Amino acid sequence: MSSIAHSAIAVTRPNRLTEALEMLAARARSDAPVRLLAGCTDVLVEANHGGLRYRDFLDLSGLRSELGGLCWAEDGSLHIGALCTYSELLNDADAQLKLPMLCDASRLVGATQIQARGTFAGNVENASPAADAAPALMALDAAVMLRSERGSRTVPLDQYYQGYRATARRSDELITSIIVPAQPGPVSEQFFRKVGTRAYQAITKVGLSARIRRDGGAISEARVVATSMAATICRVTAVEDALIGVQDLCDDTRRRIKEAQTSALTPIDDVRSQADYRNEVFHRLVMQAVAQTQS
Amino acid sequence: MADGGFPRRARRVGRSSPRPEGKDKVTGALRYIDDQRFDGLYGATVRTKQPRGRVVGIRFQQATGIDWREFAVVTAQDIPRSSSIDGIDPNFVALIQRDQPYLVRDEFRHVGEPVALLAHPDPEILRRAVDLVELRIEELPAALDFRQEPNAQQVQHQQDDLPGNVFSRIVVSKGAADESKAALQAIFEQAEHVVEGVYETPAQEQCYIETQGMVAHVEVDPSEAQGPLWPKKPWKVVIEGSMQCPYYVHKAITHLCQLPDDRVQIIQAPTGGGFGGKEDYPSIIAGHVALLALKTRKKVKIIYDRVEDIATTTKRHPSRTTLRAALDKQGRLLAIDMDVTLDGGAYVTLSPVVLSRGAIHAVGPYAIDHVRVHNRVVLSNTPPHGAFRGFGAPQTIFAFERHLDKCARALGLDPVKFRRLNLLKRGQTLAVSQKIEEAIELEQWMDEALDAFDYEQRKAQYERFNREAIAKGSPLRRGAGVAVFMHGAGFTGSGEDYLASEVMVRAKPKGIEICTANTEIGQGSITVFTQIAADSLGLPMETISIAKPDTDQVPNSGPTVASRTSMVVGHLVARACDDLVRKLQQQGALRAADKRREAEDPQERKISALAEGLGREYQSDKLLDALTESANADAGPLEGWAKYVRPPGGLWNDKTYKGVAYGTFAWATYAAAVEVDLTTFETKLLDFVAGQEIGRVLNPLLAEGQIQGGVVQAMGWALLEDTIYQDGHVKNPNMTNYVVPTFADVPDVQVIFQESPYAYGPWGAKGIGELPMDGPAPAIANAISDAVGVSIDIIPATPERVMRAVLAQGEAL
Repeated sequence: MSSIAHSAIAVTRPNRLTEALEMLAARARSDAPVRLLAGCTDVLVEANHGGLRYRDFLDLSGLRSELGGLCWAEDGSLHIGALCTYSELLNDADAQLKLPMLCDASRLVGATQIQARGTFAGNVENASPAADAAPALMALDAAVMLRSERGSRTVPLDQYYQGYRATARRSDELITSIIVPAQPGPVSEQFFRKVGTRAYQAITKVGLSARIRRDGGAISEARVVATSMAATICRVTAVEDALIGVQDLCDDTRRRIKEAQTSALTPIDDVRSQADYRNEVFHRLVMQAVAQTQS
Repeated sequence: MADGGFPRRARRVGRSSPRPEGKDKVTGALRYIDDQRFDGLYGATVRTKQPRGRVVGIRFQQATGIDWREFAVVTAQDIPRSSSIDGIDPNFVALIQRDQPYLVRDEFRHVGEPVALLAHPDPEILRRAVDLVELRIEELPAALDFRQEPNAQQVQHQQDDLPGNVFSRIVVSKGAADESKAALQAIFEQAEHVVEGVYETPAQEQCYIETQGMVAHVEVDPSEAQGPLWPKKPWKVVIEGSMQCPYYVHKAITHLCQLPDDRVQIIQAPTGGGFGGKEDYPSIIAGHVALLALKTRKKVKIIYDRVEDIATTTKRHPSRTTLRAALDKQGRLLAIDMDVTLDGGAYVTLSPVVLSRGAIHAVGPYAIDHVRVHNRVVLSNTPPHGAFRGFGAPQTIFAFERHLDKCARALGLDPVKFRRLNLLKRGQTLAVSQKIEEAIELEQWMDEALDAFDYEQRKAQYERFNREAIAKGSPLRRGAGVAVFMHGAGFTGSGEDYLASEVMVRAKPKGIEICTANTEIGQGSITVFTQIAADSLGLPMETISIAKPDTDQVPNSGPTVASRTSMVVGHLVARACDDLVRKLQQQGALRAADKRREAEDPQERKISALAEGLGREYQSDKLLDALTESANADAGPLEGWAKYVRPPGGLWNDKTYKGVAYGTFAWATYAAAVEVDLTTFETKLLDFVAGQEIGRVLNPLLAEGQIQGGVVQAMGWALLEDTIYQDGHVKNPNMTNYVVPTFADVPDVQVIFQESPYAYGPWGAKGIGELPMDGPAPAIANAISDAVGVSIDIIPATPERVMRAVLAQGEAL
């Protein structure tokens, strides 16, 4: 373990997971806020904008042997270590074959430099409503593995967010991995589209991560995850329900799906876009996802 | 060095000579102002947070770790009103009008206006301290939308007979409009078609890669090292920083400090881009560091971070234009009636000049008999808008070129065919009644650009593409758009006469040194000046060096703006070289026997008569020996001088707004191809062709880069870049939310040059710096309108705007 202090900032770097959990537990007991550092890509932006809310940092980079990398389990599920970067996933041939939507999402995170440092766990825990990887993970039914001195637990990602920038992680817990279950259907079920302001280095104005399964032409199961449409990324179950049984997109069906969306999502106007655009384009993306997964 | 043969043509000019400073830039060896070793204090600026009001008190809040005794603080109270020689408060930035204070005395007009300056040895502590200075404010009614007429409480500027808050007004008129409004109106009433439109463009941030920054120190008599702020004995201030125009800063600081010219020394540090953003604003930062340096008697540095830079420095003027065109049956433009309003922001800065350039370029290279362009620039309570590449022309050209497409559509004509009917020919006059005498071939030049774009085939292909897309339910639509325009280089009208720019070249051992106040800001002036001097003298590039722009060392060759550096100052460099050679001849340092023998050949003699450069007639080694001898002479090195002389031709009349606005123009046709996705309403630029006649290409690689860079900058303005103001605050002062294009957004930009040499530019060259900013936005908006069949008249054409325009037409998915 090593510590450095700079301008009243304390950074602690544990070398073992148990050590890290011990420190988290101690800080949780004394109610001292601490910020976890993985790729640092969000923290550095905060610091640059003069808004570092924390002075105490726990640097996880010493835990690479325990929390790094990704591995495919025998049941076909993918275990993404808490320190696994986007680049690592993009370099995995199986990921390209089996999880194209997660690769698409990873490829659109910032640019190459950010992809080489940023982590999936960091993206999940940062809880941005405009996250790139988290919505793809959610549409793939991923779950978050949490560990503390008290033990471990698994929280499905679609139950992980509890409000704007609020997650289910308790202050003594650490994400150890994210598990993406084996996908029973073909990859053509997967749909990911990020609408940013430019081709790369963009923040999502509106995005759709979806998985749409058909049974003899009609939709039998749907995951519809919205980005930048609410305070958190979220599954839009009203739209998912409205999609069940849909075969073709007649005007009536479109209207019904749009109504379901309007009842579930009320996006805001902000500096990046406006509600009318978000609503209209999200609807069009859903329609596109349905059409694309038809064949 | 004895290379024998007299050059058949210029050796360096016309070639892609590498940048002399390029290696240092690429390797990072070049030191920008913030990279330079520094052992002084850091300065920061305390700013207002409201759009308009009065500062009634300043309080320094206590906090742990902040000891206010460690800080130097400067406010407007440190600048005595009475100290001025000319009766004008020294606290006002000396520019066109003296209305903008360095530090708020009482009333302020925008968010982010400087009120107090702090200096401290530790930049981190300084940063915290800025937020602890509390300003007590009485708010006043602000004018937040330049498109709305102000009420009595919102009027803050009253000038001559102009309405309240109008900074400047210009009327361009021609034909019937010269007689009366009614006479112009009569033409509209009799016309076969009248087409109307309203167009808007946003504030654009220059986004130079290096943010603004300055360092200052003062030299005072030792007896006054501690004394009061303003020394009694002679003193001097030295300021170094990122800037385009050292003599603008010089003028501003002599006024602020009430010092004679030789007591103010301004030095340009290597500058990472300007685009107009470092034309006028550096004077303010220079004033601030000067005041802090005076207060502390120490070296002080202020560097803006990106947020401060975007939030407070000048941007391109937002605009709103209404247009009416009268057309005959065939599609000939009979008359234009145009109303242009620019948003000047809180202070006058350079707005009247920006307005002028916009007014003169508004109607473009078209032959139209009756024209009225009414232009005004008005106050609003946002940070001042100022210089930006194009300087008013991109705004009016956007409106006009967009409107021409609307006219073509109304007449059922192809936009190119319609333009062809109305293009200017040699001997015809512009809207300002300037007769174009130079050998222009606009139709031919336009066709060359359109051939490269494959215009006809592409249009047909896109029509097919769109038909099939609709049939199979694909959301993709393609479209093509063009813009034909011109850009005058150099200052407008008699502007260059007033500048009276001077260039000096000085003999050095084995070469010469060029002394100009023109600055390398990424555009390649060091390279081009070196090429010009090398060819004027018939010497290799390595023998030419460029003096650092330092007002103690170089003459005032005018500002680095207005596409004037290569054309106007480059020409002076060539002439100064001639002057130096002439003096060497007079001194007897160069003799007839030193001439190149080959020049005896009659064919070569003919060429030498055409070629510029007296020095080229001499053998290089003899010329270098003469220069070395002069450099080492007891009397000091010989200097060659050149001063601007107006080219022959007509005059400009500022009152009637008629006459020779510019000595010459560059002429251009740009074409854009786009694909719009009706799922997301995003526009992708597929292809771009930029064709232009620019006199003579001095350096093909730099010229092509200049054009491509300008196209990308204008593409950002057309599609992405939007400064969002809310209650006078810039809501997106960072690179995350102020979105500029990246390489992934940019297609291959094909650049075509035509060359029709201009007699008063070096080797025939005209200015090109601003030209590429003018055409892309209308070409792209025309292409989007073509693709989706709906007029896109407001830029940036964000997906949100395109969506609303398309949905308003009732397009269903």
